[in-house]
Amino acid sequence: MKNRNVFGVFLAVVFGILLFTPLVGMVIYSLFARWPREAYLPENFTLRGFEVFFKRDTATAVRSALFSAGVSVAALEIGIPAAKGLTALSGKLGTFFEGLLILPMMLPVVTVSIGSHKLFLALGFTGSAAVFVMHLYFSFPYAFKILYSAYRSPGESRICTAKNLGATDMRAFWLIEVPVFLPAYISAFVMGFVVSYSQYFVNLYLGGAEGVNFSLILSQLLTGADRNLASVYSLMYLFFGAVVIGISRSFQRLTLPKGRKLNG
Amino acid sequence: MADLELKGLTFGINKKRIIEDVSFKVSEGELFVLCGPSGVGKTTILKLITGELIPDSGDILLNGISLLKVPMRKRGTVLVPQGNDLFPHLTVGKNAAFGLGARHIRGKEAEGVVKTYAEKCGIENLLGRYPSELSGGQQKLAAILRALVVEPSVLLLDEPFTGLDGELSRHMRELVLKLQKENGITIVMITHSKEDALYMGDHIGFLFEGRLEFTAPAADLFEKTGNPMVDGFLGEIVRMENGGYVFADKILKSITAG
Repeated sequence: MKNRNVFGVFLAVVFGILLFTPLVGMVIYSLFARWPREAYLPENFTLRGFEVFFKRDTATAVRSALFSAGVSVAALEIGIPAAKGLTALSGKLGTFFEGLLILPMMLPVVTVSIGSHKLFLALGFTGSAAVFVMHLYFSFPYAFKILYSAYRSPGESRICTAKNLGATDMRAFWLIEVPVFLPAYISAFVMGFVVSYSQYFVNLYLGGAEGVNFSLILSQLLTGADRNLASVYSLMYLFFGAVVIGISRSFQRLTLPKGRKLNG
Repeated sequence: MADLELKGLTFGINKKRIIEDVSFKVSEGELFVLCGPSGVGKTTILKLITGELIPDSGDILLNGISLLKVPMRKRGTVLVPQGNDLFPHLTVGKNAAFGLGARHIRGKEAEGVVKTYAEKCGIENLLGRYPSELSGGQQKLAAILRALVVEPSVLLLDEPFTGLDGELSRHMRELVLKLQKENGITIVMITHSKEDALYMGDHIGFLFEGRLEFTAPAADLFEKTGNPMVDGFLGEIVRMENGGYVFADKILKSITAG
């Protein structure tokens, strides 16, 4: 048992270092103009990257985060009834529909985006609305998969118990279903958000001038030579994403019994 | 408290019959045990009574009135599920008061009702705890309390003693019998344990592969019934001089185990 603990700590430290090291690099590059290959330390402290970001792209970053949060909420709104409905189907029919709903996970973004673009153009459906639908298309299966797993768990029977005790559908939903499944809703929201927030090809191809999002700006900076700017934008990308995820996790805390801590 | 009657109840999923032509009657204040091996459709019958499942044919009558068109929440047939299904985000007290809230009984009045029944169940000291802080037996008691509080017409118990150790199981059996006698509750209990069935039931029904093979008062089951499935399930029952009884296969197990 003790050996296993030591091994676990060792693995945690190794993975921690592997995940944390690039962040350290990004922080250093975001605060210094250059770090020549032959120099031990970075040179020319600067806040230029942050100045550029706050002057030019804060609004885009906030808009992107809100847009993706909106996409994820829509994915939840469709995913909850879909997941509940699918639990009623058993056997091959259930497996078939589950496969159908998670299919977008496996389809290449490029293929679907180009195909959809042609169809949307023919229908006159363009701009932010078209981008929203495509983001939803790619975010939904991830959110759905989490919700479906949750509704297949024994938690579902508690809703029946609530109704059996005399609760109306609304009372059972708000007082039992939402608190019991809130962790799953939050996980599904975060998953849907992450998928939407990191989309750039869809925006590039379908969005036009309206579709410029944070990922698109970041992808262009990452292929450029300005490491200072690329690092600042990467950190800001991380920051805005973390803020949305942090807010969503705080919702979960609201339903926890007094004195309990959030796991994970 | 009420008379419950099932008439020719049939239910299936995907053309597979799970319950076939099941009929029985439970009189007011009686404890009816539905007994049989695992997977024969016992829980399905309880779900049909609560309204969670809809029968393909047949009828369920409560005091002579059909329940088929009555929504689940208004049936008054309250189930204590095998897994308890306590609401994890609510304390035992709030779990128990949930059904009262649905009946617009709230605040001090609800607290008073919950406290009265909690004392009867012997768990008044647990009302402030969360389900995750309770042992298996305490969780079962909390689930029974939650059902009793709404004073159901019929209380449905799904394998109430499964997973409890010997001493606790005995204590729970006595408690359920005491609550039933004190409050005159009509109970339908399902179990795969012939010991629980014979000890607790006023009437016992035997379910095999979705069909109710035999129903009889518990007292009549100490002799051979003539039904090979029922006799095979019960095995040899040995009467003791003090009026008690033991199952021959249990003695055999004890002897084999040394």
